[in-house]
Amino acid sequence: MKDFDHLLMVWQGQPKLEPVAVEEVLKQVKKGMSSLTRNLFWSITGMLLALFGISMVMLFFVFHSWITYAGIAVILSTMVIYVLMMIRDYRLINKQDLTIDPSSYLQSLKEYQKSRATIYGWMYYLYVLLLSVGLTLYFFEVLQSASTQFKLAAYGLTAAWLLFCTFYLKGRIFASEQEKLNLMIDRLVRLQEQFN
Amino acid sequence: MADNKEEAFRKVYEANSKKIFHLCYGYTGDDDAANDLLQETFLKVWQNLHKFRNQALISTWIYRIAVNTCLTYLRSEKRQAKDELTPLIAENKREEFSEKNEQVALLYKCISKLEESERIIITLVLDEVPYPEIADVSGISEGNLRVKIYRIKQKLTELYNHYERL
Repeated sequence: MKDFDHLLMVWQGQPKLEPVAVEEVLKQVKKGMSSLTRNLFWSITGMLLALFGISMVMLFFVFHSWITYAGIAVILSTMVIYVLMMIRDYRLINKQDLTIDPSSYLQSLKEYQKSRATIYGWMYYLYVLLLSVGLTLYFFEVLQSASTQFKLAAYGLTAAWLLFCTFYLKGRIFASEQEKLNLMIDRLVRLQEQFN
Repeated sequence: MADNKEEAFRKVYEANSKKIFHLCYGYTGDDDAANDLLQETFLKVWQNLHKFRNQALISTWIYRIAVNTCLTYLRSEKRQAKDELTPLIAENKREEFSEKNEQVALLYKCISKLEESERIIITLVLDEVPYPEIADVSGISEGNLRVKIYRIKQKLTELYNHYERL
């Protein structure tokens, strides 16, 4: 029968399993961003680029109808609101201080999950609705001189893309993100129960 | 400024990496995964080094980061499956060790059979981290911790004796 002191001796006498060298770790840390925030960071960058592009269209293209400008303005404002929401989420993740104890960390994860659910929930439908209104107004003048086939193709493809994003892509992205968050939350809850 | 940060990081890494590695290894039973978790922990240390204002021991702060990193480790099902294999991994590793080191492999196997919270606490106990620091890392009172540690020690010793007889 071995006692705990024996286990302590075994532990302390274990061959040195060398952790990775500090240089290797430094190389890694200098790469920056953690995987959790990377996706959100690139989504924000993509949206900002799109915003820049659309702003250029508004500034440098001359349209005759105010409806077109109204359409672009609706698109731009919708995107700005969405980007602001994404930035808020990005800050929320970054604010999540991993140095805090598991229960506070769990609380911030739940807060983040709730915020993401809102973004992928009714806010997304509002976003798509406003975007569709904006695009319809924009196409009104832009496609005026186009052939019927071209008009049909433009409206059809836009509608198809929005429907694809709403009913296929959104669900998959949301489900995968929620699954990851649920796993993290479940484990933290389990651990909290063990500590209590 | 950047050089200072790098220098501070080197010092912190050299002083803490072995214990953090033990913690991660005790948690996963797999040295590749332990090294990944170690790197992830120190990535967070690097990102948050400026926030550390000596309110607590830096080692406690790093332990806390490591514990939370270990807890969020099994994010995907693939990783979860890998975790379930931990005792098996430990078993396979046993064959690679010399007779003397079989005891170490057996100890890790027994640690992997413990609850997550127990694994975290016992690796800190084995590394002789002071009790107040363990209480701080795990977020439980020192009084409760002493009782818990007593039970974990008993459980681990029983497991060890059980598997040694097999």
